[in-house]
Amino acid sequence: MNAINRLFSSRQLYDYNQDDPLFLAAVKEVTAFHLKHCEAYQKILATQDFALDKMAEISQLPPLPTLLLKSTPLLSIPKHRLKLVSTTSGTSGTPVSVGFDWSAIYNGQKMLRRMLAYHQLFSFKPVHYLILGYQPHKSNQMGAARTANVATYLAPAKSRTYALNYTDQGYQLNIEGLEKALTAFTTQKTPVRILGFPSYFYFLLDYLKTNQIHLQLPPGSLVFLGGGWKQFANVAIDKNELVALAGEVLGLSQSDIHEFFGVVEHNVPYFTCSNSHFHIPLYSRVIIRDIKTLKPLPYGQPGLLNLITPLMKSHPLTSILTDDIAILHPTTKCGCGNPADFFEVLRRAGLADIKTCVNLSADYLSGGH
Amino acid sequence: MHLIHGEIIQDEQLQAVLDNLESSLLETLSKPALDSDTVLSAVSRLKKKINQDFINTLSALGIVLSEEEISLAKQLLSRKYLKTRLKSELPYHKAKTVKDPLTKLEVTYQSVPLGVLLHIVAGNQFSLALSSCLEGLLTGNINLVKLSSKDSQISALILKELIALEPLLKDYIYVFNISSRDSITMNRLIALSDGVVVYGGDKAISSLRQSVPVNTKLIEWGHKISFAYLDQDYRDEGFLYGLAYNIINTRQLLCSSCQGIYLNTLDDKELETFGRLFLSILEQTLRTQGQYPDELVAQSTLISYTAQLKGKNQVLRGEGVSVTIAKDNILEASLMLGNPWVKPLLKKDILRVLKPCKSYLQTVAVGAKESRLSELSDLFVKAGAVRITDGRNMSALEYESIHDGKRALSRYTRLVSVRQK
Repeated sequence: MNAINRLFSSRQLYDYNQDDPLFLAAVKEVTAFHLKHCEAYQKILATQDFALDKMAEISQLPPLPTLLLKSTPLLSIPKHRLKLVSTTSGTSGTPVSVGFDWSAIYNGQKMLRRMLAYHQLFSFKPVHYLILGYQPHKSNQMGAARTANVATYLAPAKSRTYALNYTDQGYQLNIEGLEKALTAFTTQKTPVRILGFPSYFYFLLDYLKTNQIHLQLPPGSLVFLGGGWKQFANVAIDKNELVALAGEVLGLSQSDIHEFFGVVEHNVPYFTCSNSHFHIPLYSRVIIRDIKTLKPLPYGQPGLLNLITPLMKSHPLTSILTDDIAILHPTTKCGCGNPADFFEVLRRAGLADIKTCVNLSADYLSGGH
Repeated sequence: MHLIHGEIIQDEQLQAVLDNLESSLLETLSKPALDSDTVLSAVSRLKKKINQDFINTLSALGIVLSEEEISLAKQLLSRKYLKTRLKSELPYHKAKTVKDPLTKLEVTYQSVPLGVLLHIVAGNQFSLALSSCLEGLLTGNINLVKLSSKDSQISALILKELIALEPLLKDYIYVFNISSRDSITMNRLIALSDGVVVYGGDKAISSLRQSVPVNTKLIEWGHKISFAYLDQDYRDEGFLYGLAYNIINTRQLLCSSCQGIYLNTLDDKELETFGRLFLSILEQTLRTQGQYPDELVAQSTLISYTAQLKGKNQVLRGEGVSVTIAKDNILEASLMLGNPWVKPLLKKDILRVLKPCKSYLQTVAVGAKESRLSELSDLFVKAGAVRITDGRNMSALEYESIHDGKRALSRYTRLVSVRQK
């Protein structure tokens, strides 16, 4: 069995050696594949004088910024062989499309099943879903919409109510529908699962509080938040405040609120532990890089988040550099019992929408003049 | 969020405001004209509000101003600066009665406001919305400020503060947070305006040209690019540190910010040697004078690293800054945030290369020996530049305020003569 398949067959999940030679071997294996099948990737790595045979640590593989992927689509397999294509929301620019190859689907499913089981997110008991996101529609391939919808299969769905309904006029906010559904659910025994962006969850809680609606959701109900806090960066939402508000308005406690972190370009999901931390499973590694030099930083220092996994053969996304500023912590800083290191996302690089006269005139000048 | 008669209102109330807008505007226009002294004193009081608290509020909203920008804002709001502008841009700002030498009649000349100005500001440029509205007020106009729907609302809050300081201004300032795509509302506002002031790229301007009727004055402020030119062997340290100061402190985000440096050479080696020298100057300037929050440094690094990976040009990366060595001589924006370009441009090619971009040229910092300076400056002026200066002062405020080669106050007024006897 090759190193990649061996890695994804491992059942250790969080109990692994950080410097496991198998991980490095799998990264080298997938990098060799991409170098062979993607000429553009070869050229990119050449700008950093990268030599695969001299690679001794995963940090030596040049990470590709998500910013680069927005302007330079990279493919290592023919386009028609891409499966399950998702698209980023394009919050900060051009959306990026990422598709899976068969081996990534196979390994990815194994990984996802193990992780969901570990975090006890599977349930056979039917639930009511409240999806704080888009109703699926063929016009919408956004990764976030798909994740939210896939998440509704973690437990059988008795019903699905969406915050954004697809209508003739496109997506419409359905806040009254959510309120009505929630109120109806409190009279039943079926647990409720609320899925979606943290900011949307906050707006829902805030709406209920403003309208003096206080509910007690049935036991077993939980909240599953993902997709980042990015949409409404100017509404600073404190996590503790969110938990307190969820307790006040919906009768939920901290252990009922789960968070998910994932990026379309990386495809390894991260789930919060009981202390709300994202521990790193053996399928990936996290390197925090200095914001000026991009050199790897030790534990506890904030820098750019670099995510590494040998999962994908479809695109050379083995090592990607996000625009999140994050910190890596040793497991001892958590204390939940999970033996793996964890990371904490602090904020995004860049400031809100810098559009200036200069970069707008660039529109003209790049137009062939 | 919109600002109407000094009060913040929400979207639900907008329709009613729009329905009454024409009669409100006509009522204000029928009153005695707004006096510039009233505006000047309100603005002086507003200037005093730019303190640490204000700067903290802005940074909480994600707007982090450099010291250069803060001092520029204070100068822009100073009474002395504004009075000088009024005097030099509008010689008949105060009515003057003269005996006309041609007709021998006694007439009064006066600059009068266009009436109602609609200011359309693209993107998230709150300072532009404010300065444009201020110019409209100084010339006595009623100002409808159309912000981008993405605006952080800071402009509306600052203008609300200005009205609180001088309640007379409440009928002269309206702020609308609407999308340009809302063509029904946009057309209603355009129809009520005597002049439409637009800041934006070619796309924004050309689409407005379609919708502004012929009898409404369209005042365009297009986008500009500024850069530096270094003559052969001219490597004056003071000049180069001045350029680095401009690049770091304006973050290359202003029209007057230096985007890159042309060298009078075609020698690749010379370009690279200079690139390395300038990179070290930039690094030192960022370390000693830069006030970049971590988010910006990280973004700057991501931008330059991405450009390096793309491999189109040689990108020399330093700590938090970079220099891109290009072989072409095309005038273009840089990667910004401390990442200028260096390009070859022989003196003999200056006119040929830059003249086609003439309406985009703004400030050029020319570095050359005294004996060559005026000849080179002259070439850039002929190519279309509106200001020639040194590196450090590229973005400095000049009293004549000719930043685009045109004067705002005179564009917002009409000169009229009224016969006395």
